Amino acid sequence: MSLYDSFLDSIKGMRSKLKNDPATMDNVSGALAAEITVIVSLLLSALLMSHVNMFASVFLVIILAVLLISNMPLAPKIKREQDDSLEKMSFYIIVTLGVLVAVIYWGLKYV
Amino acid sequence: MNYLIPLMVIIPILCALIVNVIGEKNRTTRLLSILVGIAIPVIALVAVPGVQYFGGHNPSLIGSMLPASLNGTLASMYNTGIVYVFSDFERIFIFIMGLVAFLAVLTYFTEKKEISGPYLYLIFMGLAAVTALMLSDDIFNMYVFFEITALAQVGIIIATNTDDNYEIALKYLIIGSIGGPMLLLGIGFILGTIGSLNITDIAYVINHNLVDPLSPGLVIGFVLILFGWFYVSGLPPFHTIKSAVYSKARPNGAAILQGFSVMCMLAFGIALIRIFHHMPYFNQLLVLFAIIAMVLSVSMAAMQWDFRRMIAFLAVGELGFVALGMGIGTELSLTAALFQATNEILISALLFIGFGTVYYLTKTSDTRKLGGLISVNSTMAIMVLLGGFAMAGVPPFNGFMSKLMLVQSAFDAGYPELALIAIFVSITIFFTFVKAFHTIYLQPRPKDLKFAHETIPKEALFAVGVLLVVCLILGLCPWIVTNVFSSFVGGLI
Repeated sequence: MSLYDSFLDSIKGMRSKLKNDPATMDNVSGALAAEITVIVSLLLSALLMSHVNMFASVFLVIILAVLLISNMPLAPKIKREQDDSLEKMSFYIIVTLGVLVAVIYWGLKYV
Repeated sequence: MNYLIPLMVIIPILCALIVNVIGEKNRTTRLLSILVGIAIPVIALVAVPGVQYFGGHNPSLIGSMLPASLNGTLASMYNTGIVYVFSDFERIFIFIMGLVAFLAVLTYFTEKKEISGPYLYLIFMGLAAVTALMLSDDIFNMYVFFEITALAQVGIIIATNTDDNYEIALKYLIIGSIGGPMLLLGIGFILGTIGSLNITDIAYVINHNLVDPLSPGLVIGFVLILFGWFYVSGLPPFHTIKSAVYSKARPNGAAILQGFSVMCMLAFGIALIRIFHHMPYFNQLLVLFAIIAMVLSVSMAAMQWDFRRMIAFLAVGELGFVALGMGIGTELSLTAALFQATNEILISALLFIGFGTVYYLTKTSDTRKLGGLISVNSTMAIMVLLGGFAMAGVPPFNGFMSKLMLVQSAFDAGYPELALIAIFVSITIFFTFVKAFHTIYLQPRPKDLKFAHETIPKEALFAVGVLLVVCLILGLCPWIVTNVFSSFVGGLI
């Protein structure tokens, strides 16, 4: 196959993908808004740690920065994890209950 | 004795039973439903504040009849029966919920020619249950009424007849089978440790160190009731199913469902604060889950195509603001949280009913298929736009005042980061709303858009108009409710 044909095939492939999932101004702007909201809120939440310990806060911000940059874009991942699937909902509910019980029940012994 | 206090619960239950039986007699059912819809807010306005001891179990009266050996003991002070407490605080919420229920029932009558008795039964049973939740001072009684509310919510979704409604109702029941029993188990631990289910008694025993405030029974009870509260309110990890529930209901049903959730959240939230405010990390936990609720729900709303799901996520996100105020835990923040809860009931109802007219006209909620609807009824479009501004916190509406109070309280408490998060989330709400409004009302109408109805019912215009006026009044004169909330909070902390 000549270079021209393979180039044409790749263009056709891209076009067929776009047909199935057209990106419009609306969904791109929505995803961008979600992305920025999540990043800003996470960083501000990490800064809240400075009320407990300044070094812990700085450390958390650096860790978050690395994690956020290496996992972008976050918005589609967040959307995927929060669909109406019963399995995902049950998973997060049971994890939350487990973490709450473990952290508070055993954690309060050291207060 | 103030008979109007129990009547606020009895009347909607009686109405529910009657409309279920005579549902097919359209005129009588409509008349009765509208009369009861008007009666509940009116009774809430005129009822005198007081306490209702069911079965005559007033501890101050029966104390003298007890054996001498029990005199002066803790047991003689316990409330042995169910107690309802009605003050100006309960008056405001029951009035607003009654008003929303009345307007929702009114718009329901315009949607359907043949009305359904069982559907109205579910609405009135839910209304009675959330009213009882607000009045009750007994945590087990609250749990029972919450379960009735949850079942009514499931019934309202099943009666809706939209796509996937059965599936979402079933999922909500399954998820509820985790959240509900945990709440009940937590109440069981409290009963086992304290020996009473009356919230005033429990708080008295804990505050006077008559039991170890960090005893294992109380700690595990706290965790389970907190988890149950997340389920009751629709805070994470229950925000996805709660938003799905709202989006599958009829617009009028969704307006009522979100009101039910706010009332349940408040009733159990106040009980949590009264019983467990001494627990280490109590406020921090509330703040953590409030931030997660606000950020996840509003981010999800920004990415939605379906406008009903978008408003549903926004409604859940707004509950995060209420939880944030509770979590900051100062007098100003708690007042702001209660004010925000009031506004949430009103504004979300306005948006569900207002945007519901788009679904009524076109039978679709996919924003990609909509456009140019401002030409159908510009009055409704402008009222919906103003409702969205109220939700995003634009002056002079009530949402602005409550969010401003929240931001101020976060700064005063020394947490500017929380204030900034609240502001950023409000900006995203504004963006999300304006984007949806532009898509539905302002962009050119698609050529293949078909209309199921040509005009919007006058009742829907009336309902949205009334809600908007109330929002504006509360925005211009917030002291009408904040003075009451402030004095209530003063007695709480």
